[in-house]
Amino acid sequence: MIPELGRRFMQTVIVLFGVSMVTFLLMHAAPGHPLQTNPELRLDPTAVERWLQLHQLDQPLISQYLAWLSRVFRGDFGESLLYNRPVLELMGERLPSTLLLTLTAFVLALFLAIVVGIKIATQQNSWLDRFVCTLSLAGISVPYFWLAMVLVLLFAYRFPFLPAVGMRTPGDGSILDILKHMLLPLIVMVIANFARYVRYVRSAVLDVLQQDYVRSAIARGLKGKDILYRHVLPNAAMPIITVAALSLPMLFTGAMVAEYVFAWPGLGRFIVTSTMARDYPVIMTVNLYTASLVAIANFIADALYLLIDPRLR
Amino acid sequence: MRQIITIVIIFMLLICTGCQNNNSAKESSLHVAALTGPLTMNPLFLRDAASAEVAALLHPQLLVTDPKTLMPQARLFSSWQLLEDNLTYVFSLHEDAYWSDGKPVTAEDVAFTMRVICHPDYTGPLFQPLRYITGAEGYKLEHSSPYADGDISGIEVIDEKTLKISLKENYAPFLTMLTFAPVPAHILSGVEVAQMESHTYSHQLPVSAGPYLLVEWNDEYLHVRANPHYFLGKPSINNIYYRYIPNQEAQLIELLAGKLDLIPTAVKVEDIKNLKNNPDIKIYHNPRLVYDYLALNTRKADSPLSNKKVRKAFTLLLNRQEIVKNLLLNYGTPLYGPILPLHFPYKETQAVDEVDLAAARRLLVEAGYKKLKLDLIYNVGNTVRENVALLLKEQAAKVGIDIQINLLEWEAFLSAVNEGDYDLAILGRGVEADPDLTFHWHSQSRGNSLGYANSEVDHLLEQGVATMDKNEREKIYQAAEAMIVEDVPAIWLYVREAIHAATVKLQNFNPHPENIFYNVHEWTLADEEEVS
Amino acid sequence: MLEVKNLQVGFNEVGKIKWVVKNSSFSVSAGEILGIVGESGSGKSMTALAIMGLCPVDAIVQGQLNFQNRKMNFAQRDAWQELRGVEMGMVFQDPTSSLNPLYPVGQTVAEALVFHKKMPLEEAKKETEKLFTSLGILPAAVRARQYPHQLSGGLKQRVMLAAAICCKPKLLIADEPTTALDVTVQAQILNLLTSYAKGENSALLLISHDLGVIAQTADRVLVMCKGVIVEEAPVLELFKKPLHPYTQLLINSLPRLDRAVQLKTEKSEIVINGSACLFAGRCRYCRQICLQVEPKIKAISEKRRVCCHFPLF
Repeated sequence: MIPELGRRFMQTVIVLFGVSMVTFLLMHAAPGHPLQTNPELRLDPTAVERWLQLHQLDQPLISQYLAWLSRVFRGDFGESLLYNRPVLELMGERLPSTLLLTLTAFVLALFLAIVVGIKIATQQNSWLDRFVCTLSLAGISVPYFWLAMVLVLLFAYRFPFLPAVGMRTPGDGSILDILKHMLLPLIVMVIANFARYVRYVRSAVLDVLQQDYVRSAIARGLKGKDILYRHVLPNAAMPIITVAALSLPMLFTGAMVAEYVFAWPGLGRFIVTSTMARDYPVIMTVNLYTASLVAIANFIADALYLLIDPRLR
Repeated sequence: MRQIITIVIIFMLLICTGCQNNNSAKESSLHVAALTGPLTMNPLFLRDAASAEVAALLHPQLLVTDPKTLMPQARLFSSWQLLEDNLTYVFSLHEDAYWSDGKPVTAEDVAFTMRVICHPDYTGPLFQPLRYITGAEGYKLEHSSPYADGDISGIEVIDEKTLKISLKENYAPFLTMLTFAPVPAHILSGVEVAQMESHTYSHQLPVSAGPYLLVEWNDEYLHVRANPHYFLGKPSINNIYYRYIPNQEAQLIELLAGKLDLIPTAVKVEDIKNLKNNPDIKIYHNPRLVYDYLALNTRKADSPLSNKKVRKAFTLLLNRQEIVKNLLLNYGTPLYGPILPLHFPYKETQAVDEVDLAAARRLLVEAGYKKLKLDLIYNVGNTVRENVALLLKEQAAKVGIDIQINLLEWEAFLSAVNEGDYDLAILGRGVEADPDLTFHWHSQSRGNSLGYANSEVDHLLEQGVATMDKNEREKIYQAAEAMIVEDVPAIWLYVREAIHAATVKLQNFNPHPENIFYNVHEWTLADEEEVS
Repeated sequence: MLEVKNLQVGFNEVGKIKWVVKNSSFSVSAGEILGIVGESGSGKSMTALAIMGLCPVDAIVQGQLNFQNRKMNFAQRDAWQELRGVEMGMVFQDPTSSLNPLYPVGQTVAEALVFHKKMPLEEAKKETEKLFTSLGILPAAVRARQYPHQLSGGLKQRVMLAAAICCKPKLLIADEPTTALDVTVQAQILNLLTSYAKGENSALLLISHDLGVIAQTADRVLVMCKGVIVEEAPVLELFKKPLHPYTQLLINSLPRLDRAVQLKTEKSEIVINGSACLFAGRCRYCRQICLQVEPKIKAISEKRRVCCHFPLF
């Protein structure tokens, strides 16, 4: 398994390399450049030309790519064409607020999903089970944009005891203030994630409950809780870890609904606007970043599998 | 499980009830909504709306234009004089203008700023007016140092507060285009022009001279604080928070909840009715220098639109007064030519409306078309344009023109327009404070996206910028407009107004069509009691 | 010691109950090995599960159980909780799927000891090793720390046996304990089962489709067919003189050295509505009455019972 992980690492490096190249080519294949995305901007043709020169965008694609590559190997991800600041700095500023929201939502949703999912799996077809299943189906099908707006209208307008937008009251920014601002986006995200996770947890637990070793544990006279914690959960953990690992990269790239509806600051909007504005260095970095996140998430999942499952060791 | 629920409930109660700390500080604060955050604080590299808006808070413009007449007005240049030759201007800087580090704002700062703009490595949008300065184009071509040093012969520093600028030829719009702000030479003169945009000055703005000074710029809001030494007097509102809220509905909710004080420009027409009934909210509106028009693409091979009669028929299809009344709820003006109501040569009498379907049909028949099939593109997300498109389709069908509507995403729309891949398109256009029509209508201009070419018009427009007398210019532009309208290169639709919603506490808010913070130093926030 | 009275197990199938075990009564005494034999689907496993109180939740179970002076009703499932693992133990068919794959095998046993005998874990581990040694799971200390996938099938079944008998139950049920194992290992496992029953004077219920296994091990045999006990007899008598045509069929289909394996095609199974002998369709002695009247089980001698209108005397 350890050499396997090493092999996986090499694969990852090659994939990242490929991703960067494809992104680079696709990005530049589209006609135009960042200064042309705003047709009302009355820029001199000479100024545009100079701008392209200063940013080395007038060079042949191959040499641009090689230059980018060699800079990346030196840890330099370039400057945003839009903000004229180092890409890493811009992303670093936005990451904490993104993580604060997405990670909290993720942890809460996963925790709730595990608790509730186990509960309803052990009481299959009870009213609680049916209720949660219906709810999670609704939770999956409801458009979150709409849900978010309803919450805003309800708790920020009709009964205005929560702020509608932002992460801080300007000039405040205490922990309590941030918590207050977090509540509505958090609710939306927890509902969204919970609805997804709870179905996975339920089916994973149900699946294990039907295994022979659970029956034989009952035959040995063990009681519900012991069976659940020692025999069912560790075995049900695998599919849950897989789902959690798959959603990990999304946590680090922002929460678009929250960032749009609740004006939560974060990476998501930055990534979208940068992409729309053809901010090449940002697009490249974001792609590498997301690809690495996917690789890291898979790696973490693999490591957890190893930890849990002796058959893989 | 029960304990968890209890904890959650307690937690929520804490959040909801706790910490309702009323801003104990008595300082007045104004919260302004924006759709996006700015990209730079550097006044020489403003390429987006938010940065431009914010720049007006932080930087003193050399000159401004009057919000109603668009005539040049003193600002950092407290006065100016045009010498007899009609080419040489002498500007005086405001005596009390200081940078925030205490150094005076000098003529050298302005000269330096102009040299930066004329430098070959400068990539911002401000060179257009300065190219008329004697020696500027030579500097742009030949200056070899990476710094903005050396001299431009037309820019002469007379003394600390006096600057003389001579133009190589008459250029009437010159003053209305000197609306940019200078940068401090003592901070930036040692910086290569190529590096200036990414210099920390652009992000941290350590030194500035505008009505407000930067306190904090984060990814959620921009906090600025009144400049106590602003040369037009310290602004009365102590703090302004410029908050980025991409969702317009959320902006409204925050306004109604009293957490925002001003939503500039982007209030939707359909929201006004509700807001008007709210005693805490006041609606402002003013015409903008932006108009919508129907582009008729004549450059496609054997397009029926290259026939003037067909184009003329289109002018008879839409009742623009009705459009303004019904779709814009009168927050706009119908438009029949390229000169906007705010421009001094504008004539209201030119309204010759309107719909004459029989005449339109006649024109089509004369042109030899019984039936026509054309496509029409417009961009997603603009309900007014969408309704105009539907209206046009309906009207055109009555005269035998079948219009195929293509709703496009912004990117696709833009590329279709750029590549001329359309018959009809509903587009918007922004114009300058000066009525000069050269950018959009001169055959040699790169802004002439319709490919309009009329040598007589070219001649008039060249005459227009070279003439300094306002009355004569008025006549020239009216003549040029008449010619352009006669050629029907486009169907002008309307000028939309900017609609702002503000708390009633905000007073002296006098938005400029190009700049909502035009007189921000005069704004005040009344106490609640005073208002009621 | 164990007496099953009128046991019925059924499942709800679209408004109709389908009985898989019908009105079965039998008993086992201490130290006795009772074999239950029958084809798959004959209801023998369900009978075993019912005695352990392990029928699926959606099963309908009726009848009474007298076990060591305790009178229990099959409908009240909670009553089994305190018996399982302590008084009753069970070994299942497939040791691979019956062991938790993420659990060291020693822990499976130790866990039961800790749970039932309230032993400290260390002591339970020592006890487990002793038990492993006595069951031939060697070297016990090493084996105890291994995971199921590291053990052979025979060893796994020994572990299952260890877990089932660690609390010295008075009743041991072995449901096809050797079916999944090599022939060489079969005998060892059967020996261990027998010696436990004889050594501890426990009742052993041995369920198998394999008459050979039953013949080697059991003292007395129940033959089941389609949920009904068709014949009961001491093992030697059963083989010498089967009374039910079905038993005869089973015995005749055993491979023997002195004749070729008989793969006799039966009369095609006729679907017979209403009350009829369940074996009628396949019975070569079937007569009119067999198709109309369901036979009742009746005692032929003190130790023999048969359920047939025309027993083969």
